[in-house]
Amino acid sequence: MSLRQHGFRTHAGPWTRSVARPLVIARYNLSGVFASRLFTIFYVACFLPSFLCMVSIYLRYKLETFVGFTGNAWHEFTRADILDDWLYYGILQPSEWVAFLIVLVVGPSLLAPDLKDNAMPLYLSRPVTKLQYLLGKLLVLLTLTAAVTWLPGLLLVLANAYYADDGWLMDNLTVPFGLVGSCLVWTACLSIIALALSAWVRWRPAATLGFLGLFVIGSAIGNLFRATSGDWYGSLLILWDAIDVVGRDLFGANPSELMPLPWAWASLAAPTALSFWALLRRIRAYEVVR
Amino acid sequence: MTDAAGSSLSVPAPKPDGSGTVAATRGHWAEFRGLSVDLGGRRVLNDLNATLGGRCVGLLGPNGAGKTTLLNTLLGFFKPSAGHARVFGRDVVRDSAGVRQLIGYMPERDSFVGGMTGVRFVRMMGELSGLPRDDALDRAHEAFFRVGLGEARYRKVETYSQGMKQLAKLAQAIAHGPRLLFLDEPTNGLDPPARSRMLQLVRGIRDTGDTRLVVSSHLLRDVEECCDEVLILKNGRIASVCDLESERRSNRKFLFLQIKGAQERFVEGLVALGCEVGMPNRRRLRAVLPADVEIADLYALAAELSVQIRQLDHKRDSLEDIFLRAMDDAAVGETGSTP
Repeated sequence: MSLRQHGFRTHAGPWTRSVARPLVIARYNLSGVFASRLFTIFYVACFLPSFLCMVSIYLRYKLETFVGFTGNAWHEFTRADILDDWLYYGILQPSEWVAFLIVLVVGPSLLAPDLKDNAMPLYLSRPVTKLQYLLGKLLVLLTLTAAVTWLPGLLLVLANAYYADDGWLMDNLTVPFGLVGSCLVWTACLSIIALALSAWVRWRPAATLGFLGLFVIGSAIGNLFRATSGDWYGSLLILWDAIDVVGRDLFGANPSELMPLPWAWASLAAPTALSFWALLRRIRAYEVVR
Repeated sequence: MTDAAGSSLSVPAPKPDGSGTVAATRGHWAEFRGLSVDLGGRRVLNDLNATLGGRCVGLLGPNGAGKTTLLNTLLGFFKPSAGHARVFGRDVVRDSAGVRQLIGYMPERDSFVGGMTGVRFVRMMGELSGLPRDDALDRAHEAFFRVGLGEARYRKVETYSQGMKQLAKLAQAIAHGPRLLFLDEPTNGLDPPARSRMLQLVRGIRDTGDTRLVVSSHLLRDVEECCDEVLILKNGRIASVCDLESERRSNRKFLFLQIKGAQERFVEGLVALGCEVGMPNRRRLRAVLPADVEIADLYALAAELSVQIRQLDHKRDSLEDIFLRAMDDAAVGETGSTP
């Protein structure tokens, strides 16, 4: 039957399950994100650190005999502490930066347009809860970052395990779990802060600047405080320091002395919890004017 | 029920508790019992008691009467501070998701998801309502053709004109084939042809399938053209619930006549036919026809008695009359004075 001849009719077929609704939101937003060629190029570039790391793993194990001309430099590289100086800085730290950049670019564009265009009544008048809506938006960022951080990171760890001596993976089981855990904690923290800013500012450029400013100004104040007081309290304002401490602990690398571990967790949890509370207050079908 | 002269015939007067139960005899789909909603420290809906059963219910009231709040409460956006509401037997608080599964909602203000083509926007909304992906795509296309935007369905929603946005909002509301459709000020910002088209669409949906509609509007004519039942709100209370269909039926039997000739014999003839007849003045007759008497019978009587019927009017108790009366009654109820 032609589309034009169809009348209005109720749906008699099956309905999808409620748990699928966040996935719908995530899928449509992901395809919207990749509609931009510029972003696609940027996203492909985000695989570069993982690619370089893969090359370095290959060189480390396979080309040792062929690069005698590098002399001591190569010798030192291959003898370096495998966790601290190589996998940690080769995989986890670049992943943190890549995750930050992706959240900076995508995060502010996820909520602000919906609020600006008054789309919330449309979402929430359906069998979709606030939490499902937010989960859908979070999934966008978690998916984007996972594909360029811990998923290739796991492949790199597996590649390293393959080339290394037998039993390396079993001896270093904290590495894959730490990698996934650190990336998820960091991405979730960044994502919730970015979404909250996006929801409150309701204007993408301002939310992007606000997100960037939060880190730049936080780091500046924190470093200033640390320099003047001489103790670690300033690091509480620097989320990079906090994830460094937490990441090293999860990864099994040498502990950082930037701040005590519980304080690092608290430093990450506090802004995330505050942002989540702010998000829940902002995501509503209608504003009530008092 | 009062007599002639334009008083209320079948409009139930508001009860002291602000209730109305016109649809009680029909299978009702919505029920409010003592429903109150407080927003921003202010009582916006106050002790609503009603059952609704019309195919298309008009929600009328002046600005700030609580129309949109009532819709939002039924959608689960606002929690009642007292009482409860049920839609198709489901409690709007306890089974909010279940209720929303049955509802299509067209908000009053501009609402869309930017950066998407029209059909993609409606498809996404269909999927969020629970339609499988392929069904959602089919229905998004159908909905766009149904509302008359078929040719514009691949344009970005933000590039639509005001009228097109209204139609796109309607398309997203009907795409998943809801059992109940909430239309909040559907003709807002539309020019006369677009308004006419929108009302035609609303009537089309009303007359097809099982879908029930609630049309919230402050435009009486819009409601009159589409609805068979009205719920009139004032200051958060129910001022009246009125079955427009029975109102229209009763109006058809209520006549004003102006005749020339043997008036007394004509009146006797009307009484003999079973009509109730009154004479407000020498020139005019007022007649209420029994169910089995048609207007043609009056012309036959006039011909038989050689009387000229110079003028014959149906009493027109328009929605405006009903609305104004409800407003007056509500005002009287609030002040506690007598008319």
